[in-house]
Amino acid sequence: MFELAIKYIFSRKLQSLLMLIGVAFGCGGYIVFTSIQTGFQNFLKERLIENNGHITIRSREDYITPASLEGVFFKGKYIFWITEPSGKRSHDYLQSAWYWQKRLEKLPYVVANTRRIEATTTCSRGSFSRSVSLRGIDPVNEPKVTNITEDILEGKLQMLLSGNNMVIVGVELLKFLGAKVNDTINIINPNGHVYPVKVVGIYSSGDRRNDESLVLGSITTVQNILESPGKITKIVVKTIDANKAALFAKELSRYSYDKVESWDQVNVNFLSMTKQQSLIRQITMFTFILVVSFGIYNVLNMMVHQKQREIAILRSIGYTSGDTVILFLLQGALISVAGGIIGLIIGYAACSYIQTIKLPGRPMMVAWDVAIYVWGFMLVVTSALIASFLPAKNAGRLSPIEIIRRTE
Amino acid sequence: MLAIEARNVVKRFGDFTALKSLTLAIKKGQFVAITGKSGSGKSTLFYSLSGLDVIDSGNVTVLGSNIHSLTEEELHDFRNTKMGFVFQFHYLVSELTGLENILLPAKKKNLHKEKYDYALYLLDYFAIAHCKNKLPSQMSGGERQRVAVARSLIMSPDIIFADEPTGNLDSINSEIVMNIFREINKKNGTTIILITHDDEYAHLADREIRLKDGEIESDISHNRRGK
Repeated sequence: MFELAIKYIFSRKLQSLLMLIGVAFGCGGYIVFTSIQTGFQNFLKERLIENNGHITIRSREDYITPASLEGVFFKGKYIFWITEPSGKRSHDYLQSAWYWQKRLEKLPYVVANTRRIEATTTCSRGSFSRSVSLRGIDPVNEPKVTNITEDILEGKLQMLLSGNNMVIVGVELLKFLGAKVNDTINIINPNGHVYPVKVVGIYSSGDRRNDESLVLGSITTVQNILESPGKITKIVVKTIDANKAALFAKELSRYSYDKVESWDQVNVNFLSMTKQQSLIRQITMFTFILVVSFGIYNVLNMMVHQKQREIAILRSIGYTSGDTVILFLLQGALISVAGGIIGLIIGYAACSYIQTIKLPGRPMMVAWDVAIYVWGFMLVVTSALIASFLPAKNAGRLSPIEIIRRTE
Repeated sequence: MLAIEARNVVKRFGDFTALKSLTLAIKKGQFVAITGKSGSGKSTLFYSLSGLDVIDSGNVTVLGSNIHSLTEEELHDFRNTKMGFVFQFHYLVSELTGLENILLPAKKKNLHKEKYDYALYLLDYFAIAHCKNKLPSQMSGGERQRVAVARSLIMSPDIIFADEPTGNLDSINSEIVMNIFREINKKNGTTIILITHDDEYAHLADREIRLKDGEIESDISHNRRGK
């Protein structure tokens, strides 16, 4: 049957070639689309995780409502509020940062943690001023949790420790202020006090929002500027597996009333957007593969119709209906496997080329994941086999005597 | 010993009864011609005796086996090893060469290597050695039908069913094919069931069964063989 299937394939070169091209492009297309999209999503995910850590611990914001005050005044009595209570009950600073760090150091799934103090301030130089995000970091521990060192365009993170009032400034912000490294800029804290700081480095993440507004200093420097000695606003944690961060965060949240959030909980919108993108890609690919499968179905169905006489003689000389099914299924299988292999090569070659295309700021992101290739191959081969099975089954159902009666 | 025994075979197509309780017995090694006008039931009898079609009642015993009680697998195996078929249209697989077509039944049993020499012999015997590597589209009508006859013989069957094998051939090729059947019958003792509407070829058989309206009109045994 194998030999005959091969002969049938080669006897209808154009039809077989069309099926082969369909399968190859189906497989290659799946690989290219999925690799590019996954690569881009991975890149964004990586940026999110690597800039902000896997888990963030900060003080919980507590909103005051009538319900939250139930039982506080006049226990057991119904209270009619003339003006309903409102407001936010929270601390800007983590009350138990030291306790957190001690506990985190003992947890097996925590790789590293670092403290931060953050606030919105104003930065100015001459007549130029802008609202900025002032971030105090631990230059020793921060690189263990995030990839911040990769984003330092000029200078070194450790220079923040070389003295008081040293800062690293976002590249776009520096341009806006018209400053350069070693220049002095002013930071105005929420109390309106002006602190001159020296620029010792330039930060460039590629994220314009960050590059236009981020000012990095040591924790001590920022605490001084904010006039909040010893205060910490958040602890950023790196775990052994970013994908399990939500699970770890849930466990950590049991230790304290503080707010513990994983990167994916913080970026719900981003993740739902990527899921939507993936869904659109899957629908597109499904439609494409469906069209390819219909093509295979039509070609094989036509072949079964054309080969009716030969099916009749095969059946009359001892070949069973199962043999006939195998004969046509084999054709589908051979073409789909060959097309799938060509598709793998097309996909690999296309991805290799696409990766060389330069975009502003970075090259095209392509995911190199064996699973994408395995899925692409399996998807088209399975679809092609299903598409081949129906005509093959029809061929097996043909009664030789009906065919002979019709043709004689 | 009987090659085929049919008892009270009835075959209906809706309200039309093609075979009306037909009974006949064919001895092993007999060359039987079944004749009759169109619609007389000769092709229906052919398909019923060979197990290609099911019957409505009665039974058909071929070489001791009730073929209508065999499973599909057993029936295919039986047809592969015990029966050879030649039809009016050659039904050669257009993608296979003459030799490959002849070996097709043997391939089912994975005996194509063992039967290779015999296939070459048949090609030579039927004077179609030049068709060994030719595709059916490169052969003449007579050559194709001789390849089809050779294919029916490759498994050395006990019975050959031939349904109007000369129907599409000119007189010269028809003569060649009929001579082949006679030789096979004489030389190998193969039972031959020949369906024909040509009285001239029917007379060449040992026995001539004429059908009319699904019943046997006459059953004549010829003393002489050959034309």
